[in-house]
Amino acid sequence: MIALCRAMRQYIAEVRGTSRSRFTCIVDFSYQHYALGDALTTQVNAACLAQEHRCASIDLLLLLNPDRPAAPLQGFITAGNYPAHLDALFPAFLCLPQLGAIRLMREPTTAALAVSSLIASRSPSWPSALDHLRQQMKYPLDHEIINRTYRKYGRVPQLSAPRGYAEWAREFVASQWPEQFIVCINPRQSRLATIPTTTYRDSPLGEWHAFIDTVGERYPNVQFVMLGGFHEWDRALARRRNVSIPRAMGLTLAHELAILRAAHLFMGTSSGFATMATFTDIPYLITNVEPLFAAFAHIAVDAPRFPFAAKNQSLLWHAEDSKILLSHFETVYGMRHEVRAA
Amino acid sequence: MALLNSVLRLPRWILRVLELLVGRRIYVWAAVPPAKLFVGYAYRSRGWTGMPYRAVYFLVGSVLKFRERLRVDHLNFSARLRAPVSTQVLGNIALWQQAVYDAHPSRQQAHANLRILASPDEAQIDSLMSLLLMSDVFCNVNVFFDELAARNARISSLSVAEEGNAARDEFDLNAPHPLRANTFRSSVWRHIFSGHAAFERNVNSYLKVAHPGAFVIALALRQGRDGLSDQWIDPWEKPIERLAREFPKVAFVVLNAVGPRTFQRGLITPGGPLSFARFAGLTFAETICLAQKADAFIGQLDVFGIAARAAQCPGLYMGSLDEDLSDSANSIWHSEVLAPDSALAKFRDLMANKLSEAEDQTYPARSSAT
Repeated sequence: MIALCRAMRQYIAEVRGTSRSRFTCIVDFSYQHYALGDALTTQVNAACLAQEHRCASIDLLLLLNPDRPAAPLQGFITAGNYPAHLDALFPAFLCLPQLGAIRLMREPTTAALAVSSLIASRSPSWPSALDHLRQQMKYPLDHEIINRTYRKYGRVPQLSAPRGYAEWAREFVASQWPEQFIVCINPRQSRLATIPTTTYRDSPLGEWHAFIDTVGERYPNVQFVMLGGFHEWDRALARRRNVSIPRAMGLTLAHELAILRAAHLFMGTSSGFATMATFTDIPYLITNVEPLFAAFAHIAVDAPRFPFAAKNQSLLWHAEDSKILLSHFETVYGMRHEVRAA
Repeated sequence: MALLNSVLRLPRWILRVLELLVGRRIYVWAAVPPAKLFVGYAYRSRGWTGMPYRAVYFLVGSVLKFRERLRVDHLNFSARLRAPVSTQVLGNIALWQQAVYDAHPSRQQAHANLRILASPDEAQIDSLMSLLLMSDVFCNVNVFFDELAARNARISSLSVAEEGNAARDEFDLNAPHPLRANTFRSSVWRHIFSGHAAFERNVNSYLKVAHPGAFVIALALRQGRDGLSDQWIDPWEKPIERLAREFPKVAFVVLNAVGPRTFQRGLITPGGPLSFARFAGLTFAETICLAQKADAFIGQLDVFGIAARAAQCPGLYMGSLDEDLSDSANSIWHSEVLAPDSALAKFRDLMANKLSEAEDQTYPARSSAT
């Protein structure tokens, strides 16, 4: 009995002993999605809230119950294949500069103890304890927290290259494409995916090819880097000298996000890579933004940019064509060369 | 339909509970049938409905885990790591898992704590995580980039008994760990590299589509600090062509990543004897799987070599060893590191019978359009 009382006292003391100076971001795959854009937005939300709570470090908890490895909407992710999906997405969780720990918990009781400890010690976390218990997350993730942070502090925390890849990207770009203007592109091709969805949002490849070829003729120092899963790039791109495809060389999402961070411009459909560009300072053009997303971003439809975006970071609310792509490219390219000349 | 399925599963559930009560089946706490039923309901009912169940589950689960923390030892295993994370370091992760498993074979679950030392901004841990996701040795994986994070997490990452010994028993992933004669006799290897089937599908498809009827030789090259192998490819080209002239069915598949110049050099000619697994979109984890599934292996005893050797893949394994681990009965040979033409000459001599057998097999010849 005495031992039991002692154990209870120790339990209460320890669960309440979690530090409140560290912010915890919970990603529970039983109700959150395996999606690049959502993973990145989640981390930015965590960074914003950590700033409000004056927490210098963020710990990321990835909760995964092998019996229920995915949310109902992603029923194709099963106990047999979830490692591959998590493996593909994992580098996205390394993009927070303030990351102090990343913890994959596949044992439910460990997750229970970790979350109980957060609740008992009232340590700041996102989602909040209540939202986590309700296991509800509204998708698409909105920008309420992000916009609030921008209004309060005048800037939004930025994502960095995945841990360990920032220096790699700088050296890689300098050695493989010295003195080149790097443009990362991601024209959406969901029709080529294993499970095609909303294919009406796919990019018009003909327009992209025309744009790439025109730039190749006029600006020989421009290198396009095609980002995205191996299935996403059209075969015709591989023959173009001014296009590189990291996934075809064996590079991974980590390398791609790092190259994106080191690039001079991003152009592509509203997607996970567009989300990465959104929360950096690199110029971008995000095309074919869905009007229904305006409400989640708390902006008007046809707004030229997000409230926290810079002048050369633009949104396009309809499908792109080669003229629009070329115009935006030449604006950014011209600005960069004016700055360099100055 | 779901209700009908639940009703039909009820007798089986009752049987499992009875087996648990009489001690005929042993479960970890989270897998006890009543717990699974409770969790199942807690997870299925979303929103406010399921909230009380989840709250109760978290409380009970946390008490059970804390009880484990007070009583258990040798459940959580620690390792330390500093940049760069080379293929040798990744190989050490496999050896670490083997050491953990062999030391405690009856342990149903184990968990990993990794401390990143020195320059935490430089350590690339995604490949490390890929390896751990292939494996089912470790259930939880904690990676700490700073000491405060590790200390803050100790309630759910270490038992009381382990807290004092964590630093002493920490496995150094950067130090050399010698391979012994019994290293590859352990039964754990099927848990380390083949714990999950998730990575096999694409490899199987690749081998069938890209190399039908071929004798596939997985080739693991050295990698630079940038993780690429471009500078080590050229010396292999001519020796591979010579071997392919003698044995047309061989297909060398490089497991490593390369840079854009190699990709655009058009090193691959359709139907040629040299191809790159990563060009076909295989990931790092899948190339590990390919090293195990290939007909033969040539390369160093890094993570690729260890994976292939663990699967008893015939071939030539290069690296300095304290003892010779060759197994001639299974066409496995170890040697010191050799230059490509010497390595292939030795490989040809040692594997001549197997290569000839492959040529004689009545598979369709590899199409030049592949």
